[in-house]
Amino acid sequence: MSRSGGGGAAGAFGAAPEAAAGNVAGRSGTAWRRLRAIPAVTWRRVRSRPGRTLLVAVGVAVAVAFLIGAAGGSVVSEELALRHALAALPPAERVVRVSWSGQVNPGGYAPLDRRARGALRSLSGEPVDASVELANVRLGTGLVKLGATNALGSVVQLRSGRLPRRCDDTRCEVLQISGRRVTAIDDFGVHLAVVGRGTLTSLVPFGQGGLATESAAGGQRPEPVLLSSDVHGLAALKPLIELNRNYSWNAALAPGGVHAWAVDRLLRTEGQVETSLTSADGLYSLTAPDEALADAKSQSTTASHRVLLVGGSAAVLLLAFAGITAGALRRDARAELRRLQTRGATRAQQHGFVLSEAGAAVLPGALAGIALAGLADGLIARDVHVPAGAALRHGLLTPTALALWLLGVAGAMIAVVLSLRATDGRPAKGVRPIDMAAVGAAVALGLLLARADGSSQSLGNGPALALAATPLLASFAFCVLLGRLLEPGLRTALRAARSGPSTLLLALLTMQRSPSRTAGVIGFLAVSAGLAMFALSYRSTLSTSSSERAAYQVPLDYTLTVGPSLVQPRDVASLAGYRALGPSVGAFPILRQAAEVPSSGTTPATPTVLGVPAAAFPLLHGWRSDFSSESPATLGRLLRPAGPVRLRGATIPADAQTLELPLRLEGAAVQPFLAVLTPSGDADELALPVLTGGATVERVAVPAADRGGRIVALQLDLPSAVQRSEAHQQAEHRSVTSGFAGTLRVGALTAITAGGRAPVSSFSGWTGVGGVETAGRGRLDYSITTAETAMLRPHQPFDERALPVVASPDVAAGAHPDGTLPLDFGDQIVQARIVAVARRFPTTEDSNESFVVADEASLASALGATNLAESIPDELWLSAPPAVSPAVAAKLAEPPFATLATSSRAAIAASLQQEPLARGIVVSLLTAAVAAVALALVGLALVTAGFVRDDGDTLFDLETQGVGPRALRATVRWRALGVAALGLAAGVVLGVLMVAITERLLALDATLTLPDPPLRRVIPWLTIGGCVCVFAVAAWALIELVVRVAHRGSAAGRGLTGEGWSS
Amino acid sequence: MTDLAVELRDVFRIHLAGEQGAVALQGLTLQVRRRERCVILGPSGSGKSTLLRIAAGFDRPSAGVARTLGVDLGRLSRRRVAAFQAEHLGFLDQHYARSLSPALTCAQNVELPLGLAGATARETRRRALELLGRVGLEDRADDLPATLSGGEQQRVAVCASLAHRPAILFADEPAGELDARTAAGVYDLLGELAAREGTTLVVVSHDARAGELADRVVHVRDGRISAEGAHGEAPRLVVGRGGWVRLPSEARRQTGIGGRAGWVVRERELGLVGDEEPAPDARENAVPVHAGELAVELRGVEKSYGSRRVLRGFGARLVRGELVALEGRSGSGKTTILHLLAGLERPDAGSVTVAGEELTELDREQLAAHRRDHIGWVGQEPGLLPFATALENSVLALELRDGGRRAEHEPRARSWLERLGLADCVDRAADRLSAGERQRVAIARALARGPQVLLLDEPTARLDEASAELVGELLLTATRASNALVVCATHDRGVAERADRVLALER
Repeated sequence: MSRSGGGGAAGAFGAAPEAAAGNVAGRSGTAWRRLRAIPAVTWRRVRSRPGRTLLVAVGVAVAVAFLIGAAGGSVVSEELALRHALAALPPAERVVRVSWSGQVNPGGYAPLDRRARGALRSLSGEPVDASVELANVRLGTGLVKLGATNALGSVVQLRSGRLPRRCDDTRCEVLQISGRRVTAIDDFGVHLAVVGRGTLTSLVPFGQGGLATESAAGGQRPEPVLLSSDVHGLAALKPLIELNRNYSWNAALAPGGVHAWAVDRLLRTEGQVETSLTSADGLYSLTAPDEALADAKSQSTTASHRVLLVGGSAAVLLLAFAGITAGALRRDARAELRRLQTRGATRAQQHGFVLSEAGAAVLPGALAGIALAGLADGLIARDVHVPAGAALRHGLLTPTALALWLLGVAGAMIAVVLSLRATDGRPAKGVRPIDMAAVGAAVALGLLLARADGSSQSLGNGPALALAATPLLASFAFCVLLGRLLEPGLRTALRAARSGPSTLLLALLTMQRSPSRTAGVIGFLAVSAGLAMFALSYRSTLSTSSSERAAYQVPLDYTLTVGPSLVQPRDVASLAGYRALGPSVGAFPILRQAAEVPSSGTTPATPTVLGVPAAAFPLLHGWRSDFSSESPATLGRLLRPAGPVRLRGATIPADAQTLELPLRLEGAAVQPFLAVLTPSGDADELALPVLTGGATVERVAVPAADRGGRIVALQLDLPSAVQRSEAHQQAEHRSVTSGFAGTLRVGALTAITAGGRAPVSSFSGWTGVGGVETAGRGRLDYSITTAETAMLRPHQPFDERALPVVASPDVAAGAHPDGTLPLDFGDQIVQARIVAVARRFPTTEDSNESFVVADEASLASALGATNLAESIPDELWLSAPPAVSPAVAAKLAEPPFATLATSSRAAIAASLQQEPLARGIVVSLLTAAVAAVALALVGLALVTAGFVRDDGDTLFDLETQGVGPRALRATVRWRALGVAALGLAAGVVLGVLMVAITERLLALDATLTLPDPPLRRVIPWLTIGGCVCVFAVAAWALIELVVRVAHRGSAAGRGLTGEGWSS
Repeated sequence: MTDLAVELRDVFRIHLAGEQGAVALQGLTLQVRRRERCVILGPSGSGKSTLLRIAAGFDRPSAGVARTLGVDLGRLSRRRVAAFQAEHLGFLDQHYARSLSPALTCAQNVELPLGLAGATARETRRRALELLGRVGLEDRADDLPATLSGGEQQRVAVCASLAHRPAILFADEPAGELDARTAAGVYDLLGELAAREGTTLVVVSHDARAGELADRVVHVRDGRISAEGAHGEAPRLVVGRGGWVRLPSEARRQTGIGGRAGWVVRERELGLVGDEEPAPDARENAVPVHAGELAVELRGVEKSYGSRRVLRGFGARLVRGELVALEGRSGSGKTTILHLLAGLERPDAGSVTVAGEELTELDREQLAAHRRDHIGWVGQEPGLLPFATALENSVLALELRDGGRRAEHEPRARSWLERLGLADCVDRAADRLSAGERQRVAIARALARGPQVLLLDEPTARLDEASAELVGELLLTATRASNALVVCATHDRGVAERADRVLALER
């Protein structure tokens, strides 16, 4: 420094004639030193009082950690979702397969194998299994299917012998999988030795449809399938070298083996590899579950969006918290700024100081947040067995993640800078830039909502950042609106408070002092409360959705259907037997059919026709008002039949051994059957011999199961040879014989019992249908076609009346104006009458929610009148009170019930809720809710302390006027509580808004599938009410604590800390 | 090159804080030569701080020309003004705690202006140590300001303000918070350093002793230069453009010059003749207090703030019907006495009896009740509720004291506001009022309550002279009419002249 004193202004200022001698500004390095001076001041300030900066930095760190962590966590979510989706694929589809089909090539198998394995190595790191399948070849006494796979040990279950080893021209060991039994084949120079027998457990090495045999396709006895474990050896057998063959090389795609971040690259590489293979040899082909992978990728992207949404919401809250805490730095920073001004800081340096002060808190906080996010993501990834390094690399170093880094840091900087620069004056009148920004946010939100149709596709293609910004946009627009409404609201409250306690009046007046700040605080509390409410609501929505989905699949408590052993529920136990599973257990047979109905278009609709006992309706779980305006009980009542619906017929004596029926035929041959409804509710047919002409008395033995049953029809069928001939003609599009006609005289049906003969039925009053006409005295004129069933049967309950049904809207749309509707079951048409319309009904999702529901007994009666077999339920719903449900579940898992396929509503719900991704999302939401409430409380305490500090001059003035400490505390208390109450109320509104928005944006449930029934917004008002009460008590306690601590010491001492009017 | 460091010509400055605006400067003209040490004296509210802010470029004139070192700062962008200030100007604040960054050591505080200008670390350190050495604080260079005494801190602040060798140093009440001996030391230091550095010195103060460092003393009243003179000489009236002269109020009162005056020219002399009877001296005019009831008694009062002892064995007996002025330099304990009398602070020792109650025996709730019943308070900062109107603020004070409904108190509150010239702003929110108007609302609010003891801290600090006179008269009237004790801490001679007693405090 050598500038002389008294120098004039620099020439840069025009009028000043003399330059400052020795001005430092001209020296080299000056700019850098000027730049450095400001951070140095900030650094010293932070070092001298690190606490407050640390508080802001912690807020920023947690905010950035949430945001960045969400980006990293979203990759873990993607990975989990991809695993989930891949695991759902059949194993045979979960492979990348290179195939080569043709006759042997000049180079033999080895070069083909090398090239194929090389190609697969570039696509998957998994081991490659090779296989060969030869065309059927006649060896020995017949055709033989030969194949080999080097993974034989893992795809067969050995029943006897051992696994084959060698295969060469002298001896080829094989394992027999199916077909007629062989031990060895020596023919055509091939020496096959069967060394073991087993069952194929997986077709993965050969592909879906592999090892298909010609004889099986022709309906003949299947030829033997013989497998070797030596692919190379079988392929090289010289006698078979001319045989067509199919080589396969498979690399499995294990659920954890393909990573979310590698799917796109895998799909790209596949194309290149396929091109390379086919250009080398046109007989190669490459297949992979591309579509499934793309779907899984799309689904996993949705998962990441979900996590981003949660992270984005939390980040908004935490940034607001950072802004609130930064308010504690404001006064001190302003004082320093004034000092810098008077010490000669240029404008750039003054701006730099504000940035530097903000940066001092934000940058370390952001770095800590990023580190925290990395650590948390790494731990989470490790916990769910996702490669942590790769997850972090693909989660935190992608363009999206880097954008989020910048967004987080920039957001925190803006929040802190705005907080440092905020003034406490009146908000400007008219439209402010922030209003315009809020309108912009609202418009952006609207556009986002308009674009989103709730489908996974729209979300999968949606920009992740936009989704993460959804809560930000909603919160920002809402808070600005809140701020706008606050001032008039306060004025109104002031008018109302004139007659109230003076402390309330004073509290309102002090709130008016800085409406912007009050609005900011209310906004912060609103965002906190809103996020908590959103989290609670969304958690409830997802949880309820799981329960509703479970109930939609299993409407009562258990659903029993035919299992792998093909045993029907009715074969295992009677209804009484099921009811005996536990006290108050209900068993309801369910009849499920499909029918065609007229629709509003040209193509008939094919709804599911469901027969559910009317008594089961009130027990249905998960019924929602959007299913139908009627309750299940009402629907049950509407469907309940007015009179008896039992199928009428002739009862077979319980001790009947044989049935005897005199018959005389004139005309085309027919085969009569007696349709029997057994006492257990099953259908049986007692076939009489084919009648070719003349009179005869036919007898048929009565099976034990049929004794005591009812004969509901005498059915006349064409003989089977005639039926085959007709089918053949039909297949060749030749004209079908119009009918086989004749006359059949039927005598009285008699049962022969141990005690003698007993009349069963004379068929008097029975009616003919399907080409049968009664002509009196047991004479039937028949004309039988393959189009309908010809029979003689009693009049049945639904011959004259229509079946009452509940129909879906699309079905109802095709009904006659009087509500009747023909249900076409193929071989019969049942007239139905729609008594109610419902939008959804459980278990009908497979028919795209197109359904007709009737009372089971009524439907069975209507169907059984013409086709008894179709009227037999093969599904059973069980209801069990919660107390006995575990015991029932245990019994169902044991024989004889274990042979059935059992679905448990509780188990499905638990499975849906325990799914890792679903749990992750719910845990994230709960964490966010707890964090939101905790931050709201901390923020409230800080804000209350801020009221006392910043309004010190006003409070001091009140104290000088004689307002006592109690009243002053009450004033602050009223104000803090008022802010808390307003924040809480606004938070509830914001929460509802956010739930509505996300309901629209994210229609997928916690397992990332479009749920059936769709997600329905659930706001747990009781839980929220409880949380509000807890929050209110905690807030009251905190405010009281802060107010009491802040009011210690002399009044003047506190008053002097106020910023005052003049500053 | 111009020889003028500061040139203000017909400068007007209207502050628009209130809806009507307040005129801080009205046609002020001043020239300060380079290297001159100019002290501007004037009471609070006379416009001297505004003058300083305009000359330093922190504020812009509403009209007129203001040039500093020949540069019209009003025409420059804020960025260029800041650059100009950084390079050429130095500032020294009254509040040393506000001037020095508490996070920086003394040396770092001094180095800061140089660092901001881009000097090297070695240069800044050498310069800081050189300056601190000159003021005898070299050994405290690495200490934080908080560990130094007030005088030492202000010496560090002087060093910091001169570190970058500014062409002009603007000082605002540089010894305002120091005791007389320390203040004298700071004045000497400022004068010496400015002379040694060749710096033009512009000091504003209401402390006449600041004139001791000056080459020239300028007096400011009502936003105009009223008189000036060299150090040690009697000030001479300044004749403004068009012959405007501002007569001292005391002279006007003595000569009976009110709204009109005749004049007589005799050779080189101009005589003015008032058309009113000369007003008697305010003290003479005061109604003698005869055996007034004892309102306040302080005995052996001790009060310290940290290591700073403000009152030592202070005692006084004040009676009702008496207007008492507390005079003394800043920091002499005037405000502390008012706080003690109001029960806003407690003495470290001694007793304080107000309206018959020994305050030291009351708890805070009882003190508040006592204040509510007996005391009126007007602080330096009129802490009105900003969004409440002037009337609401006044009514609220009455409601707090007496309870009842707004309508019952409104006529009284309105009446006092009108008496203080606020008839036009009764329904205006307090934060829409000018500082002077707010001060008057606070006074009206206090007077409306009719307290036994009325305590006022610099009640005329933000008022123009006419308003200050009005307030002075009202205080006297209130004292007489309500037989109240009015205790007023003030620098305003107008108020002090009306007082029955003046308690001069000295540290």
